Amino acid sequence: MTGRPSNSYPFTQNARKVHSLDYLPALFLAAAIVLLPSGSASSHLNSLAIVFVSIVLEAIPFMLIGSLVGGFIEAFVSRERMATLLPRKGWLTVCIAAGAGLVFPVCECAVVPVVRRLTGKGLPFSAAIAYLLGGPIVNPIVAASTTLAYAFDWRIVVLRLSLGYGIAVAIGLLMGRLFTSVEAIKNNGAAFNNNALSFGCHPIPLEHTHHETRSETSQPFPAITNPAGNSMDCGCGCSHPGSDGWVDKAGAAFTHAMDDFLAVGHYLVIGAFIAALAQTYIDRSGFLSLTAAPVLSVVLMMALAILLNLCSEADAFIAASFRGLMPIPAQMAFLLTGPMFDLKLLLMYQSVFTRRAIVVLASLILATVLAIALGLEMLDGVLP
Amino acid sequence: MKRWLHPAVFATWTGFLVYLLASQRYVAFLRPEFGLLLAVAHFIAMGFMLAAMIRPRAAKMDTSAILRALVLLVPVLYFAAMPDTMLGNQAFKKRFIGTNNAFIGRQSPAMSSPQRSETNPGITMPTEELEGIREIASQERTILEIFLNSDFYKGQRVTVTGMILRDEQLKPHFGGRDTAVYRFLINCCAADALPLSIALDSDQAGDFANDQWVQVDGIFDLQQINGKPVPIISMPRIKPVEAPSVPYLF
Repeated sequence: MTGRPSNSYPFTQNARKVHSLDYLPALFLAAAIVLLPSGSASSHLNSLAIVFVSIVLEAIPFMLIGSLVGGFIEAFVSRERMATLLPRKGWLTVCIAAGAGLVFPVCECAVVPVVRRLTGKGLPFSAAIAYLLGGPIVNPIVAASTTLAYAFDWRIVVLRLSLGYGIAVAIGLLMGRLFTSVEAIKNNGAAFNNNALSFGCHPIPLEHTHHETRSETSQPFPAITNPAGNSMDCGCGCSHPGSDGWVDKAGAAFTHAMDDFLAVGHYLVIGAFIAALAQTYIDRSGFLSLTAAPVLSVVLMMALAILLNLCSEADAFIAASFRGLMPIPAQMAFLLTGPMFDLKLLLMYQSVFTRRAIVVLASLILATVLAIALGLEMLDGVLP
Repeated sequence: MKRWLHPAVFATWTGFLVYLLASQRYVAFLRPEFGLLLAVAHFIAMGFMLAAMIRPRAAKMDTSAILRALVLLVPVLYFAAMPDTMLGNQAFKKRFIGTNNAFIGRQSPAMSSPQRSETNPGITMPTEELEGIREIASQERTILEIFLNSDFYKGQRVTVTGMILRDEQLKPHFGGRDTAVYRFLINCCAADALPLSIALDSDQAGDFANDQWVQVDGIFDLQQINGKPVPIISMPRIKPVEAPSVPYLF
């Protein structure tokens, strides 16, 4: 069973999509050189540089740690072990994954490389989405920062975490119905193929793996195959010898982690740059003059969350600064949108998901948050 | 040559992080507590550098991979190129949405921490103690402290250090006044910096350029403007001072 599998065309498609994105680093490098503040007296360019470097410096430790966690998962947790850790029922896996941030708190930058590896290990796509969306909101650090920002107003904290959890579960289940892992996840061979690994993984014959099925809830552990038709329990899609030694595995963990960082890191940098541009040139007070209609205030705060690209552990302080100026549902829309979808994440998701999956995911997030915020508007008087 | 690109990227980041930690310059971008995370990050970057160096077979390195690796170096380049590491009035004007945000900021972690004097940052002064000494001639306080205890400082002579700003944009928020002294409050990084500002009831500010660091000594007051409390220092004496080593409030 070493021939090309019949369902291998998605990898080729995915590989084409990966290459079609290659203009992005080139464009970014050109823009970065043009906007370099060196020798410039422009306060705009200086602000841009400060905010850009700040966002990268804030995010990079989490990205590195997230990559390392992903690398260790790759090297030390087998697909079989993962299978034993997860419930048999797919929906239960989604529910647990959405709340996993309570035990494994992650911010949105760290969660992407972790999810990238977990999907390679056979975590169902729906559960991966649930963890991706829920992890950065449903966690104790975000709960604490929201509590402090809103002066121990527990209603806001409970609302944010419970709504974040609900959205993560709902969208996770829905995405699991709409896509299979092969259709949605890019690292089923193509992306990892650029990062050939050399040791620490364990190729296993294809016939020993489960085959992908349409419904993830009935078969949560799809096989990960590479374009050559091999099936790897590491999920990296490369052919390399395995090793069972602890030291070798630790070395493999670092190699996997480094490859993940290289695959995702440039998206973080480019996203941070776009965020810095938005922070430098967008006038926040301009948003306040457009808040007459409740729908508009919600939409504007969602747009602000997407543009500012704030860390989920700090965004509550910015949201709270709009207290008295924006209605609570609009602030809640800000608090829910940012950790799930912003410019930086949009780019980082491209290291994990296919473009079609990202479009559907983004649409679902925005539509759900908008609907919830408008629902909260209707509960006027119930909220603080 | 290509084989060494990834090790070089991680070596650059390792060196960059070590430099930021050793020189403490990271506090121009992040909360001081992030130092520990940066230290961890530097060890991981070093591990990645070693992993990239010792891997038996080099990763496929096409033009795209080279460009992606170069993208990772851009933040380091920007750090080296930026003429000033302090946010100024441009950022203030883009972020300022009225004084309300600052008053909300009193619930931030920094604001709920014990009070610290600007001149004696090591000395903490619990609120209970502050309440027992209402007659203080003039006290060097951060803008943050004054916002935290605005009711306490109301009517008292205070001394604050910050950057000065004269701009028409301030007038609607400060009852027609166009001058303020301000600093940024950082919760995580400079991207989330919130401007905290106190209006100055003075014409003397015209002698100073925008973003000039000044020490302002005057009577603090809270005035109701458009139904919102607005912090104001009246009869201020303003003198230029050196910029503090850490420009932000945390």
